[in-house]
Amino acid sequence: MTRRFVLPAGMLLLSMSQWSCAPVRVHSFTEARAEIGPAKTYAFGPDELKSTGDPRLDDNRFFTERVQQNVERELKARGYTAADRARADVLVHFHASVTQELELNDRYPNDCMPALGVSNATDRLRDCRPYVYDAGTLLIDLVDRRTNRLLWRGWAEGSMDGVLDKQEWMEERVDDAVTRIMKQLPRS
Amino acid sequence: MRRSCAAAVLTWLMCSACAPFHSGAFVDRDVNFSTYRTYTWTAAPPQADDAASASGAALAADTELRDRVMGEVERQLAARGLRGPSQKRPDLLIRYRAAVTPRLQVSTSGAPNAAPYGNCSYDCFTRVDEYETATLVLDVIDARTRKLIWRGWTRDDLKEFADSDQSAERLRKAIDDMMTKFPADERSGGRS
Repeated sequence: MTRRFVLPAGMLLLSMSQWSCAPVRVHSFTEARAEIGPAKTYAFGPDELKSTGDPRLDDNRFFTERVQQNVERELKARGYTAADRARADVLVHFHASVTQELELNDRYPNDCMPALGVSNATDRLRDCRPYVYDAGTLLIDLVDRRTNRLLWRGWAEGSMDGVLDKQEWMEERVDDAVTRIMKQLPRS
Repeated sequence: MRRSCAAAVLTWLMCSACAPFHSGAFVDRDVNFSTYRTYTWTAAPPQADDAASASGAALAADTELRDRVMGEVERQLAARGLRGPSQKRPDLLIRYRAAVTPRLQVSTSGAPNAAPYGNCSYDCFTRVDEYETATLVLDVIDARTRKLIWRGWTRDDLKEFADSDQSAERLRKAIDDMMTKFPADERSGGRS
């Protein structure tokens, strides 16, 4: 009974520790001539059936609706109101992608620690072995519906290792990423 | 921090290698699954990625795999009280997709007398190998609303999806494991 509990708990902790390895980085870009201006009306652009790089995420309603809910909440908090797609001032597009990244190490071998998981008294020793991880990017665009010009782009990048293994973990990651991306949107 | 992170990642990779396969599910928590009675199969929309590699195209066209998957899923659905495949106004539409994803694996080897887990300090070398994983995605769609209400998935090394008898058993177990995530049906004794 104890072993049945310990193993899943250990895996959960390991998975969570991986998330913290590669922190989520958030960036944004505002078109120089674009006017974010006063709060406007918005709608989501048509679904784009682009491949995400992970079959579990392709055409996944649970993911897209979670992103939409978070974006809507953040836009409404900034005074935006929902509108019909044909009349909205701003169309929101988003896309996610997952790619495997190889993390290399450029330390001199003498600086590397000798054994995996064995703490060494000398702080300078490090595990120098390269490792691979799933890197995810979530990108959100605000586009002027009339001119089709990109007004603003925000995106988050970070490790997705294990995130898609459980629905709750995916939802937590989406909530966090979208909130942080949308914080970059200039206040009107 | 960096050392502990790398250790965690490597440990996770080693644990993943021990696991026979990997499966999970997404579910619409607002749906009452006990109201569904019948189902039928529907084709999954084509994905550009599926034909991008030779092995992906081969997997998508593998009729033997398709028969195994459909047979096992039907058996599991029947055990949950669902009747089908039924062409007469089914409650649920079921579709599956088998996709191949290229992956990288990093391994470090040391001297023959090195401790377990490939520990080494100086006389070690690291290699990066490419391999392919097969992901089986099973979608359950409400036929009336056309909404995806459940997605199950199972993932394994592609070579394990080959057509030997041993792999057939492995595939069956993988699907069974995935289907344990399908919401419980009170009609079949609460199996979940």
